[in-house]
Amino acid sequence: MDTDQDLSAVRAVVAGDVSAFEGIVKRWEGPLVNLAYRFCRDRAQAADMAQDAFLKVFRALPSFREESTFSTWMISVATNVFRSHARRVVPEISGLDAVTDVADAREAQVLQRSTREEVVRRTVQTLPAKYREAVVLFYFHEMNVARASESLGVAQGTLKARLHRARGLLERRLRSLLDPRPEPKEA
Amino acid sequence: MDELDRILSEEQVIAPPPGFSRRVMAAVLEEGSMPAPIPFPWHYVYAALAAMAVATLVCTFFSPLVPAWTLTRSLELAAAGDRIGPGVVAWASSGVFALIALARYSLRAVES
Repeated sequence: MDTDQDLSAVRAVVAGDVSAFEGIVKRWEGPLVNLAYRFCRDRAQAADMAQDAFLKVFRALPSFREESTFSTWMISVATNVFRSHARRVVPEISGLDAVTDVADAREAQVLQRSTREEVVRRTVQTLPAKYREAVVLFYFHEMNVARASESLGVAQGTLKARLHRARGLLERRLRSLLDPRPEPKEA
Repeated sequence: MDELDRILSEEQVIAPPPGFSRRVMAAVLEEGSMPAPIPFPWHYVYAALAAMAVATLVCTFFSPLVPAWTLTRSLELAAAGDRIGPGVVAWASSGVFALIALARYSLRAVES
């Protein structure tokens, strides 16, 4: 992403040139829609969430102090919007029960690879909010702990602990799906 | 990289819907044309609370108009106040500050 272009656009918007925000939208619509999608797994909803995030960024621009890069700040603002939204909306899938049933029935072995992967991603949605957010941000930032922790506004150690806990929960819930060997059921 | 990492790293990339940036800019321009929201007048609230506290003290202890029984009670209260230890005052103050901080944080959370 072009940081200089972002900064000059930010300064222009803050100075009153609202149309300069269009450059920011065009440069960042892809990442924001994709991040929103990881929080809700619904394309239409992701677009609405990303639009809300852009509006929030626009409103908050005067408070951007250039102490961090614009991208870090913007992703952090957007993350807060997506987190609030995700916490308001109950995941549509029953997730764990459905996955466990499928796994127990050994139907996991015959699932198509894409379906299997989608089940894994949707199971992330069933995690408690703080673990889900850690997982989403970690993989969105291509497994970069520093950037993920900045986006979430938590210490790196905290993020690592949440990721560890999230991974444990996911592995337990998806045990049969990820490893077809017979395993005892989750308590 | 294990199976879980592989699956979660290989998330499909979705494209924004057609006309997305146009829709966002329409909302942004509408937002930009609206007057800025009026911030909550915390300064006035603090001033009003301070004025109320002063007025209460003045009315309780110094007003010549207060009935004699009020004055007596006030003196009793003042005497009782003398017996309040600094620890109690510190705890009470901390409680009040915590309450104000909580109220402000809650308002920020609601506004965000």
